[in-house]
Amino acid sequence: MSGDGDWGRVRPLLEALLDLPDDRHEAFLAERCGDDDALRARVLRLLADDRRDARFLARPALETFAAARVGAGARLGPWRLVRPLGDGGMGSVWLAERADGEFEKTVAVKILRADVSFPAMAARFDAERRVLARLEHPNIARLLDGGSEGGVPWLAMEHVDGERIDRFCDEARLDVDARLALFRGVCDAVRAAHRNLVVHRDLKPGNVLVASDGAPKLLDFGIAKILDPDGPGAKDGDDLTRTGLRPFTPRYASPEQVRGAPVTTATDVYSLGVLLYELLTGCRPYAPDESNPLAAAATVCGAEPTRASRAIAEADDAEELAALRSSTPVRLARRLAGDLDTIVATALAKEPERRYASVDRLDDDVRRHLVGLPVLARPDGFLYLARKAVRRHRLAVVAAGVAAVALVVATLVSLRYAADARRERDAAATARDRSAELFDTLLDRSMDAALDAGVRVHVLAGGTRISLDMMRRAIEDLDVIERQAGGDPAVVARIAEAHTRLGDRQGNPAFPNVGDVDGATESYRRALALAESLPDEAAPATASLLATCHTRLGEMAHHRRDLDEAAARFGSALATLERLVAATPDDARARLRLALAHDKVGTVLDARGAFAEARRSFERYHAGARSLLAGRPEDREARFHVALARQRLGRSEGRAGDHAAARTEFAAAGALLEELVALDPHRAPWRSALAWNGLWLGDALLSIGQADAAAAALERSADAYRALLDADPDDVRTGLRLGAVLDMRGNVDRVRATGEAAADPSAGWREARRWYGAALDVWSALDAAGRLAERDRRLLEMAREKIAECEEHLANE
Amino acid sequence: MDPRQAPDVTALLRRVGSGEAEAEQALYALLWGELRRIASVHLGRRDAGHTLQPTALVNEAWLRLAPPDGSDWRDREHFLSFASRVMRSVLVDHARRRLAEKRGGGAAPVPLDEASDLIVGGGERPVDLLALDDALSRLDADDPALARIVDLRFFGGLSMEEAARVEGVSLSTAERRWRLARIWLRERLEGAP
Repeated sequence: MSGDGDWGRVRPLLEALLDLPDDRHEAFLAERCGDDDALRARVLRLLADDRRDARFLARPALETFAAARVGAGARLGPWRLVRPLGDGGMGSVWLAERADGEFEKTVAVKILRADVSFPAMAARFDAERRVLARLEHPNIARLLDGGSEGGVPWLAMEHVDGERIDRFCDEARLDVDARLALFRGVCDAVRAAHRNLVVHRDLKPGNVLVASDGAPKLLDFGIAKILDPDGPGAKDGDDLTRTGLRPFTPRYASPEQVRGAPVTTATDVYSLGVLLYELLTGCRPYAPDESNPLAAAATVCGAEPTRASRAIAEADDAEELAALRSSTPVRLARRLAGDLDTIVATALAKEPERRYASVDRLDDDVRRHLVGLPVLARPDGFLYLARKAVRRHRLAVVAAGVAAVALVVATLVSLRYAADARRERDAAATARDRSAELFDTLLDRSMDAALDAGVRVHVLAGGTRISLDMMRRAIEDLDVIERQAGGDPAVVARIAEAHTRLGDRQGNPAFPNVGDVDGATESYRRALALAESLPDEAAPATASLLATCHTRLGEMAHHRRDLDEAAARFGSALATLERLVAATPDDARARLRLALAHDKVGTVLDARGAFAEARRSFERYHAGARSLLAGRPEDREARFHVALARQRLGRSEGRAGDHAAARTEFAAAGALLEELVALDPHRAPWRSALAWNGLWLGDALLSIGQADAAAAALERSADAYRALLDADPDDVRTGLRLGAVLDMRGNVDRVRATGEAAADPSAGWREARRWYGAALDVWSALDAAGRLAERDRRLLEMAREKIAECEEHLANE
Repeated sequence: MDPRQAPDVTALLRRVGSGEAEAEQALYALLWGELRRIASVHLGRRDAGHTLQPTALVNEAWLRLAPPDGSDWRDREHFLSFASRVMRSVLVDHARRRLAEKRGGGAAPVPLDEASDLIVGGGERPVDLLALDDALSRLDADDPALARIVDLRFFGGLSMEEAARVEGVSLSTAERRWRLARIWLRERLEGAP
């Protein structure tokens, strides 16, 4: 009680009072406090204070931190904030003036929502600042200064006193030609920035002001990049910082920004397209639901914009919109139809490569249109088809992560349609290759992202349900892709593979999974059905896929102790891999898989008690791994499997009672494992396998009467396990096995003590007691930490009995 | 996705659970870095409109740090409790840095806002974070269970239910401890009786 000696008396009183109705407080305290009026008064006062101020500490600390605000008069570098100009997604903007009075100048200070208190972020911020400071163009607001304050970065920029471009146009009732001319000024600024390798990333009317002289000025060039959590610098060292959302404005963001794909100058072309569309029509090309980022993303990536001319024709306030453009709805729609529709649609193409290749090209088409030349962009037949296809097959996907799968579907479908159309143009092969390649990449990436997210969500509160839900959605998406694939073997194979990966994460114990064992089995079955539907089952890729499906199904069957099915599945995998190896004898991976298939078959046979058959399988496992190693002596994995195969053979020999043969196998396995551990001493699985091998070697040696050699082998094994346990004290299996080795070491002395030639039996019992005691200590420690499973608690009993036996002998002698 | 490259928080937690000081330091450093990184981004976000939920931060840290397998509920609760303590030191450290900047004299930059970052958790009277931290350390000596629940609720942002689960006590016990802790702290922060 360092702080308050009385708290020990106060606390029980308060606790009781909290549970009592108010009118009994006085009586209770009178009884409990006796004459101690001070104590009674204090307790009552504390209670009253508590009632009076229920908000004390009621809001978590961080919330109140967040509520703090930057105020007028605050200083940033040489600048003093005067008044707020605005607040946006990237931070707040303030009008500021020189605080040191050196000269009179007002600037706009932007306080960014970012943290640059980490060196990598700070370096990135500085680098970006330097690039932006070099950007000089009459239509670009200059960056003048920048710094950070307590980790919060700020930028001082030329203060532009102007009107947002869309409002300026409306207020001046600019007609289409005047709007296009103004838009060309914007293009000019963007083009200059692109030449300096700066992409704006967040072009929108709010960032384009028109000053009193009528010239457009662009604000915030490149600032989005500073805030981009995926930007260079953010990746330094780890990928943990990469989970944040990229800063952009959904209404003006390009599909690639929404998808998280690389941002290029084509991104600005797209945003300029949205800007142009809005300047011309006063409408949005489509209306992403900005309150729901995922729905917004789906819209941006999937929805086809309404043609600018039609938007005017269909707008409820068409009269007013046309009037703001000094026109009528009919005239305006006619003016937009044709060239301008095409220009806007080309800038707004979903795929960057289908947009104008540069701002120059966009600007040039606007120029050509203004002077009456034909524009160069063409409404393209097959692209139009593709766009239609995307629209038709667009998915309304809401789950995080899985949204990516929907994008894959859309992209796939559009690419396939593109491929179909091009086939008619006699370029089918290239397009198909490209389509398949893109599909592969996208499917891989999105499936992995979705599954990874699913597994990660799994660890959170209530995460299992969400994870299963995400998995279910992934399955639904795969179904859609499957239907779209129309039996295209390349795509079907990819989908089957995706199902196997889905199964891995759902519930294959060999992978990080969310515990959905039945779901995993179902996914593997689906994968197998798809793989079996493929036309050429002898094709290496198909055979490999079939083998994977069979193996996984075998693993699931083994996991639920359905040994019949496990045997059948592993047998099918084996047969398939044999054919595969026959077809591609140089494929080392296939040969290793074949060897492993023998091991799986052997393990099931062993579990069924068919030791002789199991042994034959392990021999094949051994032969396969050894022949692979013979051709690739540097292949460590092959070497490891040779060792494991010999260990399996040793177990088989031991079961059959031939301990000398077992010793030979274990010794050989041990030698191989020692070589491996020497190559890479930190590789825990190898060290663990070596330590485990020592237990069996010791057992075999003891069985053939070589007690000294057994003791040495077991002590080496115990040392190895202790080292492993030091590195990872919570590995229950290591603890259990260390105990087993110590117990076995005790057995050696027990044998010595009871042997006919025992010179000093009591020394043997003493030693045995010591080793059994050590084993008991290890297991008891696991038990005390609550880590000993119920079924393993009998080990404690066993060790105690052995110790008691030793003590009995010691007492008798 | 490569869980092999992520630090194994679960293993660290288990080692902390078995009283290993080195693991505790490692986990503390790991979490401190991560929470500070996450939190300070939010601390830089000075809009009253954005309400922060510390649990979101803690969950984010868990999501980033925990491996996708081998983590059971006990690990997670252990994590929440640990993270709440770390969050406290993140915030206190933030406040200390602010104070140092403020007292830094001539060359030091003037803080963005004179008081806001030192004063938290407004009730009738706002609370000086550093004084609260100090009082909590003393409460920890007096009645550690009460100090723990303040860490969980006030710094970790846990709901009463979550805090009860983490502490392994009933909801009513958690509520009672929370009130007692507030009573103790208020008396301490408002000056001796």
